Amino acid sequence: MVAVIGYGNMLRGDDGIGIVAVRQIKDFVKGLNVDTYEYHQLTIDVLPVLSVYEKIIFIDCSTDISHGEVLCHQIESDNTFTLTMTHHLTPQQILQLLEVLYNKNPSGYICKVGGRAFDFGCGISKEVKDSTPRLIEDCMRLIKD
Amino acid sequence: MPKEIVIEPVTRIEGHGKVTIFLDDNNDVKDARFAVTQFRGFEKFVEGRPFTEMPSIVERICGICPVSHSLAASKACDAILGVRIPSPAIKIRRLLNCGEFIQSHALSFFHLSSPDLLLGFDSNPKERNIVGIINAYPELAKSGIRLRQIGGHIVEWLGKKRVHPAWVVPGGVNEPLSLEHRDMMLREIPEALEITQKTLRFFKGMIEDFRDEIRTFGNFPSMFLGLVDANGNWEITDGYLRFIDSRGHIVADMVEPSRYKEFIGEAVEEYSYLKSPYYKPLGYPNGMYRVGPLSRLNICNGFSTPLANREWAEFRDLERGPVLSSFYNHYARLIEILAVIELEEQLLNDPEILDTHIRAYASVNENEGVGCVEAPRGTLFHHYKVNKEGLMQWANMIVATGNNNLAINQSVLQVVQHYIKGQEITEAMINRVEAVIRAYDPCLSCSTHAIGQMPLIITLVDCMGKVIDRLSRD
Repeated sequence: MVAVIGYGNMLRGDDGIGIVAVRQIKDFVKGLNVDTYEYHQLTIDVLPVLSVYEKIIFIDCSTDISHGEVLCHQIESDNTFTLTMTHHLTPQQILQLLEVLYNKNPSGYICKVGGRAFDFGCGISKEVKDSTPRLIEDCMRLIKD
Repeated sequence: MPKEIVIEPVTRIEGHGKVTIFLDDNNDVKDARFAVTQFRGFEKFVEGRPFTEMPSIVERICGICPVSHSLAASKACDAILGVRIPSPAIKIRRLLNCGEFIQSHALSFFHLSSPDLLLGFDSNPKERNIVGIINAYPELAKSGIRLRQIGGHIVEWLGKKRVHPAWVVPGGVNEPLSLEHRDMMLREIPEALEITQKTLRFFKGMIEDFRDEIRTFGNFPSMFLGLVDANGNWEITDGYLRFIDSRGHIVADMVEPSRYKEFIGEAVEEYSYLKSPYYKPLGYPNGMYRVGPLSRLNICNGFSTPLANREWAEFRDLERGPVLSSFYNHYARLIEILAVIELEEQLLNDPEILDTHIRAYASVNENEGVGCVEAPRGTLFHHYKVNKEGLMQWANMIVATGNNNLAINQSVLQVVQHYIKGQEITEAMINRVEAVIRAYDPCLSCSTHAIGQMPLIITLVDCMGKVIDRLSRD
């Protein structure tokens, strides 16, 4: 079973690309053993939902890479973090908590695209929009691997 | 020379607050203040909006208790429409509130307060958080996450969204409960009950370990306010206001919430954006009262569900009159989770819950309306005035944490007087100051969040502004 999670804020420009992408992916995975989810943020509440999957793919926008660049890679669990707020977790922290709490070790992947515009407002920048087919293609490859 | 200790921000609460402790020349505590440092302004910027938008606008006040705001707003709007909403709509609104209570109380107990309760107030602050709980008590942490999920499901399955569902509307709700979702909710009830009863037993078994905190965490006489039903029993969505005094005598009862201004005055202090409501007949600040789980259990005659009623009777045996220590909010919260799960089951087994007559329609018939519900943290009032076109002219909101403002200040003062000795600030002292605030589960506004980790800096400053001690937590 594969879970594909798009997360971000649709009201903050490119930050919503994870959700835009996962909505498109939903159409491509019909008949496959894949579930898609949309989240505003990753919180502890997603753990029971994700505890049944063998592979989890997170889709997000990134400020660490160039505008429109697409990067997909495997991620490992992070066992070094402390947490004083429960409002946001990283994909690596999700994997760690799945291991500690549910004794589950799914393979985890992050697919991200470099965002340019994060101001208030709906809509995706041209750079990110142009990269969306590539982002979806890479996600689909990971799903089918 | 007088000095100040500032704790800012207070951690593991919803929103941003600050505590200032004033010391005298002998380093004895002179005063302490709890202040909310963020400004929201909802009451002002809703002016001019159509009143029908209010439930959707005001639920953005909060990410944890949006349901409470949308319910209070819709009830105020029902009054403006001048309609009696259909019985099935009353019932599914109540069901929605059950969902919010489960998820919010679970968050407060398992995520925010259990690190203090289970790992200890003096434990390593780097581990005293939800991850510490996950490592030390994985089964309990899982239970808390699951309980929150079950509460969240109720909200999500009714409102189509877990946070900010635009489902409660003036005149009722905009979609009925489906048979499929009714059955899905029913299937989760046994597990929710099991988790809650197990946690309650666990907590009752350890309560003796907190004698010192029970004695000093907001343990003082005060009035209590909350809603009760027509029989005087515990109530969270409809009903009447009841005030009791510190000895348990009822001083105002069966008060229609629309008459709240006859009983509640609102004071403001220049150091905080949170107003300080008080019981009007006693004046400010003598009219301090408390709301929330502890208060609701103190004011009611009992519960209308058997398991919660049994727990309530045991709880009330703690003291002859009202239970006064705010530390017992944790205990009361668990009993309330039990109550809302039982109530949820009753509602789901009522055939009318699936009825599709869920909304009454009308145009503006009154120019003013008041809505009142119990939010998880306490009594919440929304009061609106509109013009004949239905555009908002004026709004007043008294949120649960505001109702508790005077009591939180008093509680902070009690804790610092007990724990602060001399000029040195210790982490354990800071944590107890924060923990007494957490006991009230204040919601200072969930729409403002820290990014990443939340730093805590405490500075001891003399009256000339010179920093004489400083302690920071990453």
